[in-house]
Amino acid sequence: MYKYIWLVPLLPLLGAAINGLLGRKLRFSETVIGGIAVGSVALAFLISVVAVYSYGFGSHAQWPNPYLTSQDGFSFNWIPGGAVSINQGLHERSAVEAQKQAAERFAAMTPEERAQYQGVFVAGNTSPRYALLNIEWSYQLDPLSSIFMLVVTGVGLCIFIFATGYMHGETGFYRFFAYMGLFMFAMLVLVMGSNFLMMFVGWEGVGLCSYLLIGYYFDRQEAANASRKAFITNRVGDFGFALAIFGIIAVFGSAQYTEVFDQARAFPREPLGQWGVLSWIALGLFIGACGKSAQLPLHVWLPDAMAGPTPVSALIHAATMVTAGLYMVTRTNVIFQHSQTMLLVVALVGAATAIFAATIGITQNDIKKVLAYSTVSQLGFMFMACGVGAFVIAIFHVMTHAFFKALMFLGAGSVIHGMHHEQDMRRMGGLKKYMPYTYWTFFAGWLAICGIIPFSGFWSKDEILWNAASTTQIPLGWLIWLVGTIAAICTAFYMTRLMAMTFWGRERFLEAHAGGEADEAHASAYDKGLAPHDAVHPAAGDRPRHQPGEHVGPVHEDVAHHVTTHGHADEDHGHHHGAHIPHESPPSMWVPLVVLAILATIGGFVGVGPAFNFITGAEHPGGRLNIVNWLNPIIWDPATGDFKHAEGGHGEAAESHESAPVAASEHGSAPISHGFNLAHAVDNVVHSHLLTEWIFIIISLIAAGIGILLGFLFYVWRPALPNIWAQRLRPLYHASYNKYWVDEFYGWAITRRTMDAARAVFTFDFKIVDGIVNGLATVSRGFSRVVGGVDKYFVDGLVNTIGAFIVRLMSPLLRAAQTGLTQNYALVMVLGLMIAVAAFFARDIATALRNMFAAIM
Amino acid sequence: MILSGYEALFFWIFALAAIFAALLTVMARNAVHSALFLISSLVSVAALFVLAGAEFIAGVQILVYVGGVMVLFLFVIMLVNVGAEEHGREEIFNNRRQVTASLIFCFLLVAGVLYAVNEGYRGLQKSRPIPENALGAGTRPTETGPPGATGTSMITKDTEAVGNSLYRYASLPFEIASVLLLVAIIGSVMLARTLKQEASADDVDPELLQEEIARDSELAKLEPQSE
Amino acid sequence: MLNSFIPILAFLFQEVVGNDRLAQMKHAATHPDLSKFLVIGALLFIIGVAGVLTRRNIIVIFMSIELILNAANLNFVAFSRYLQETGSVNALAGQIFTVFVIVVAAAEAAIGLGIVIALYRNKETIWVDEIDLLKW
Repeated sequence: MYKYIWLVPLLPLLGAAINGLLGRKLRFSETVIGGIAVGSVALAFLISVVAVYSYGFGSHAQWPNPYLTSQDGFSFNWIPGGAVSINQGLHERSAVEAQKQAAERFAAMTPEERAQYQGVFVAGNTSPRYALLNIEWSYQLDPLSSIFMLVVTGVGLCIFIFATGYMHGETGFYRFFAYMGLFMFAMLVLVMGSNFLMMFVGWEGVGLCSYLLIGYYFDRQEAANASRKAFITNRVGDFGFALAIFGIIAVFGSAQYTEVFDQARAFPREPLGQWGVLSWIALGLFIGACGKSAQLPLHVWLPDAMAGPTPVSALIHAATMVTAGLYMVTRTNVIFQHSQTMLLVVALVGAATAIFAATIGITQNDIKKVLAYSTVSQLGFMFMACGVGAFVIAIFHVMTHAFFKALMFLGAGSVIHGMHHEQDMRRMGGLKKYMPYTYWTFFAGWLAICGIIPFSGFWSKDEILWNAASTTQIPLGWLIWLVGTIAAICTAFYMTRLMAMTFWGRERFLEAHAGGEADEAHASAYDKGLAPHDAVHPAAGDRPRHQPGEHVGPVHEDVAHHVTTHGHADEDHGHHHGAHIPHESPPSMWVPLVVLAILATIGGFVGVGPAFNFITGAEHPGGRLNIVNWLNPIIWDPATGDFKHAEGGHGEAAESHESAPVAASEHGSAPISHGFNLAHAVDNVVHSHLLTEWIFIIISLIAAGIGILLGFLFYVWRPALPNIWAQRLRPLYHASYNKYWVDEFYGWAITRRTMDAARAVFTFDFKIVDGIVNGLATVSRGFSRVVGGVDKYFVDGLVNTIGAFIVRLMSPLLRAAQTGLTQNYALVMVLGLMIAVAAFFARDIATALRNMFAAIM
Repeated sequence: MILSGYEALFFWIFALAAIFAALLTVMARNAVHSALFLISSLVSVAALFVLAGAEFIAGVQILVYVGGVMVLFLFVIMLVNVGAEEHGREEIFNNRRQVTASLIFCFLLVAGVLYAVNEGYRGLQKSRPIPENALGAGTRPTETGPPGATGTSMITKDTEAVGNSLYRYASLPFEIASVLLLVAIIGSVMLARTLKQEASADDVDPELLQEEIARDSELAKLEPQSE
Repeated sequence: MLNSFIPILAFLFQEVVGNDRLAQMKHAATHPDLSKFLVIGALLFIIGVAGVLTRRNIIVIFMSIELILNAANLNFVAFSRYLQETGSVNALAGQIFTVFVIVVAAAEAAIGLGIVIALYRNKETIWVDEIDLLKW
């Protein structure tokens, strides 16, 4: 069955093509457009499910070996690159060869000789090698891509269904679904491609679709700016990724995953502080991942990307596209694990991002902004997991995060929809009564992200923190654990705050609006002193038919009344947004919410950790159904220098493994314990591995509890407290509220400086280059006058005299040469050819002539 | 590449045939004879291609050159029928100075080139020697096709390999070549038109046309047609 | 058949060249290699050049150019075969080049003969020594 996986990316593309190319011309109704889009994604999801089932559990299951569609003939030579020379990484490769030879020799020795073995390595061959680079377009089904296929199509399906309700009434309905379908195609190519170039195509494709969808309301200045910001910031990352791909081709002579990782497996590990070729490749890859997954220096685009429609935020900026960086890092875990330096960098950047974004999330008032910073923070958690060597757990968190964050974004979308395009949490409150489905599903998401057992977020977040505390792959594990735990407290706090401000407490939407940063378009219009509905100027063709605040969706009696009164109120005193009674969203919106809520609740059980083995009876229960067992075959194990075994085997918490001396010498260093290791320290105190794990689980639960209790204290029990504490911690509050002024800093350090540079170049051009040219012109004009005088009276006289002489003498000769006959000219060409041949052998000819003369004389 | 046995014999036969035919091409008095000698030279070279294991190129050589280009040559010779040359009334070679200089240059060039071939080949043997087992045609890397009626087959899968190579490594030049041929077709059609044809297609400078009409009144009949 | 001639030749020329040398020459003659192809190519090239330089008939000059191109083709094919045997990666490049040379030759013949016809129509001559438009 998995032969047909090439249909999975193709179907959404087909749907997008039909919607995009014909939707407007044939005036499809919303039902038709939505049906095509949802149907294509649903079919893709169905095929993915069947394919993954038959790949992993069917009678001809190929798991854990990767299945490539080229095996069954579905592929074509996409880029036939021809012969390439491998000119990088030869030193490392030769070291590998030398070690291999030494190991072979060692194996052949007698024990006595072995005792004397001094580890003399033969020098490896460092001459350039050649390979046939042939990049095919084929899809790969393996443990990693199958998880991403299911998440992308499954969560995508929920969001598509949601979007049919949410986008109801938009003029650009067909355009929206065309872009979304195109995005699904690009994302599926990214995760299903069998080589780095296909990943890059998908990578750029999702970047493009992200740009198009953020700028979906292109007649709003904010949306247009945000889309450009996202695109340009991503370019920085893509640059690094492209360099890394060049490096991979230069080192391995191939871009096919199977081949690259098979070669990379044998390279020596590069310890902390050593920058070998794999470290540089990993750095390039990580820069790419930073750009796409909004990690610290390049995170600025993601919060602004919330200017797009909410389903876009849920699909692209929470569930799928931003996890592409994680996919890439996990895919290339062989390369990353070869470089301890880069692992540490990944972990530190992840931890820094997690705490940084979590502290910003505390003070934001826009519901989507809070979720955006939460996403950045959770992505930081995932990178943290990658950095400490727990790639499987990172993917586990990607999955659970996709469930609960998509759920919360869609919930936020439902709230925004119900509140008539109101995004400011200060104007919400008490929505529990009006939107029960949204509330209860959101409630599940809240518990999941806070990390309350047994919701999905608990399992993955707890595993991340435990792995950080117990890592032996990098030093500073305790610091990363500490930062992660604090970030988890912050997460629980701001999520409780969001719940409290949105669903509980006073019904503030009945009061006067608080003003400020709600709907982006509104805010800008407000700043400019315009009436709020002037925010949307009529643009050509596609613009939302309904104004912000205008009612869309099914009209309830009471709401209809409000809408009519709203019209009058509008004439009286302009802005009257808050004063609507919110309503529950249509079933097309809350059904996906319910599905996602169920997943967010139970989704974590696929990754029950080893700490529960007294209940489950196994370290990673469930066999292949457990995500750790499922993914292990693609994770490289630095201890054995090979990919991990299929079923269980080693736990994620890397104990220092005993390995054969030859194997150890063959693959460089086994994991070494670096300095202080928190888990080991606790282990030494309590003398029980299980108890140690439980201590950490309890700490993480306590952290979540503290966050939630603080949230309740501040926003439910004592609503006056936030203002008091904001006053007390004024500088901190301002730093967080203003997002640590990163945007301002970039604006000052990069954008302004670029403008300055442009201006300086222009000034240079205008003043100096033009000045030089003009000056030269003046000088040469003056000079030419002098020269002209000399010319006229002196040179001309001379030339006339001599010229007349030469003309009389030479002209017959020159005239004779210019016969106009082609063959005469050809003769001269042959003469030239002859001289060229002679010049090649000038020395031989000279020798021959000399010999000849010597013979004559 | 070392030929042996009958291959060697045929090599010498076709090599000498090619050179003699080429000489006769250059020296024949009648242009039609010249063309026929050129055809035999080209066919001999095609035979050498076969000996060098390039069956496809040999086929292309015969189809395109002998079948296409040379027929074109013969047509043009017929079109610009010049009897004076073959009847001995016109000198076929240039004036003596040109011919002497040409021949001297050519002799020097042939000496130089032969010397260069000799030296170059010696250097080549030193830097890239042929492997020991590469004697004869059967040792080429391309596998041979099914044996013929006589039990042995010298026809290899050369054509398949050339096709693969052509479309894999040279697909862009291949497309460009097709554009070149299109340009050549259009160009030769435009070049070979008569003034009458040009005038009827309204493709002549009006002033020039007026001049031509003044010279040849027959053209004036065409003018209304062009408007 | 060739082998039957060799003893006769050896008998005839034994006095002139030594036995060793004769054996070498015999081997070289019965086992033509790349250099022989190159020599044939060079001779064809020179004959073509001579034709271009000496003939008056413009059509024969064109034919001589075809000879030159063929000499180049012969070199390409011979080297392609040689590289196939030394095991080069892209040994068939020579044959592919030959295909393109033939394409260019065909295009050149079409255009060139078109020019010849236009020339004949206007100047009523095909003798190149009567065509000296370049002089102006």
